[in-house]
Amino acid sequence: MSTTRWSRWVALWSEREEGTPLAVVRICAALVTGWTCFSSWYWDAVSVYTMVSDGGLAPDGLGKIWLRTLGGATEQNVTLLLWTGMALSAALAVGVGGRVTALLLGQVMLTLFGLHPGTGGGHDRVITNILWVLVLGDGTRTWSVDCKLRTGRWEDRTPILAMPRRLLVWQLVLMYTLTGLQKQGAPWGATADWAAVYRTLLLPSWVRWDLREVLAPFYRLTQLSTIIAWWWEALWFLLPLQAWMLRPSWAGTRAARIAGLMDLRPLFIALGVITHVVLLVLCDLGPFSLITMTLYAALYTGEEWRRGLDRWAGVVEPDKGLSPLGRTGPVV
Amino acid sequence: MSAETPPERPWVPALRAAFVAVHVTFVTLLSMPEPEVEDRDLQRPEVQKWFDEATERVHSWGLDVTREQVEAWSVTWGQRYLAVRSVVLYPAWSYANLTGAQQSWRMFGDVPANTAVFFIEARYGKEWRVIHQSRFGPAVWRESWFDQERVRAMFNQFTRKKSRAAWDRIAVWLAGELPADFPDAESFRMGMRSVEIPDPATLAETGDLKWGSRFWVTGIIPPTVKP
Repeated sequence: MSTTRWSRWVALWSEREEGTPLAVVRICAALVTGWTCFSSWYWDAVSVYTMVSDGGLAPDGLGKIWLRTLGGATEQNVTLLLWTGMALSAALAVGVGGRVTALLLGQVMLTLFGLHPGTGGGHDRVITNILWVLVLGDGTRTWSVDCKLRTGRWEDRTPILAMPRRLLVWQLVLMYTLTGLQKQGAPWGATADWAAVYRTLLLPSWVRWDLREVLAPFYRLTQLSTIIAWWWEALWFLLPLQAWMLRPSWAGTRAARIAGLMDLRPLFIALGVITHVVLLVLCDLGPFSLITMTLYAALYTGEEWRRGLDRWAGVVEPDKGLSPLGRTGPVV
Repeated sequence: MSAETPPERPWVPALRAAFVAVHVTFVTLLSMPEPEVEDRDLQRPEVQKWFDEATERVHSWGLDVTREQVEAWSVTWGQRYLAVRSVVLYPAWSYANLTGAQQSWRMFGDVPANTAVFFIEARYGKEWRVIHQSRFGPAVWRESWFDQERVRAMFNQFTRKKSRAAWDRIAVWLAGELPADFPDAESFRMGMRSVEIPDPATLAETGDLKWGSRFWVTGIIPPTVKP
């Protein structure tokens, strides 16, 4: 990397913005982790994490080394881990303890998820990735007890690094694009008549409701959903691409003009919310929909959040005629 | 209320940028697909089906290749790719396992028409009665437990005949749970029942999935019951 490129790279990751989006991600992620721990405890899934030698279902000998030195995944230790996860989730949601809370919660969740391979899903990885980024960023700068104690107010507009929010955007783009590109099975295409969504809504492992007697008339709709879902996922890489082309270094180019035609984020978010809400209602995929939609908060900069909240509160600023990706620049 | 951001030491921005470069590289490389090219993977029906479909696709491009050529080419290059991947990604795995930055995004890559449901039966005299069938069955013992997301995921792997070790652990665990709730039962067994999702015309006509044969039927021997 040349000196100029390296300088630009350093400058890019030193940019700052208001901390609202990271605070929103923190609060939503904490609610999801809290629910994950609570539901495991409440519906007696402690046995799923508990090792066989203590009467559970998980293989012996797994778990982080610190847990093994404490006796391993015994029923008592698993219950303690779940309650610790709930307590730390509450602390993270209200914003106590800054990055340390996120770090501890991340290690608790990582430990829990590692106890029984085959019982998790993509949502486990989304959760731990978000928690790690909350360790890297100042997620309690605003809308937190930490903020209240530090400044006497619940809100602090002091800019924080845009880096963690951008890493979350990259994570979201990677997740969707790679998921879309790996949907290579026949039902995602014409060879199996675009039957993927139809079949998903009848898969015994995941259905929430028995749709056997009602789904057939909606087959065309499920086919359309299959096509849209595939393209929507596989094209998420367009968002950082658009943001990149709207950076000042591209100003005046044809690429910048094309990129500035339309802000793609509302379209991708709208399709995402529809997809995830339908999945949430019709299938039981754990917290996948909720934790994934949590990342949508990171698609807008701190200043864009400020502008939106001001507009919502009736404090309207004059339109400054800036790019669709916001006053302070693009998302990545 | 806002305060000024405290100044950073001169080396901090460069160190941060270097860390971000490493993080972004690691998570991007880790998220790249991991093809299934081990012998046991190749024997699985869905992988064999993938080769059939890939051959059809290549034919549709006007290329004259056999299915065997497609399989041989895929396996050779898949194994080379995995060998390079394992070396290159060694430090990335350590980082991801330590921090939680793990990546694997193959979700609903295929949605097979053929799947299976889990069942448990109890024997009363000569009669076996279904006491649990996950989804679309006559009885659901401990429904809320089986509905929990992690329990669902655990049983879902058996629909693809994966993780026999986990299956055996479940048999042992159920042996300790069932007798208390079914004290009059003489014995128990569990298994998977194949089920096929029909095309929409058939579904509209029958209102049901196509039920098939059973597999992995396993006796559950409670500690207090003599075989």
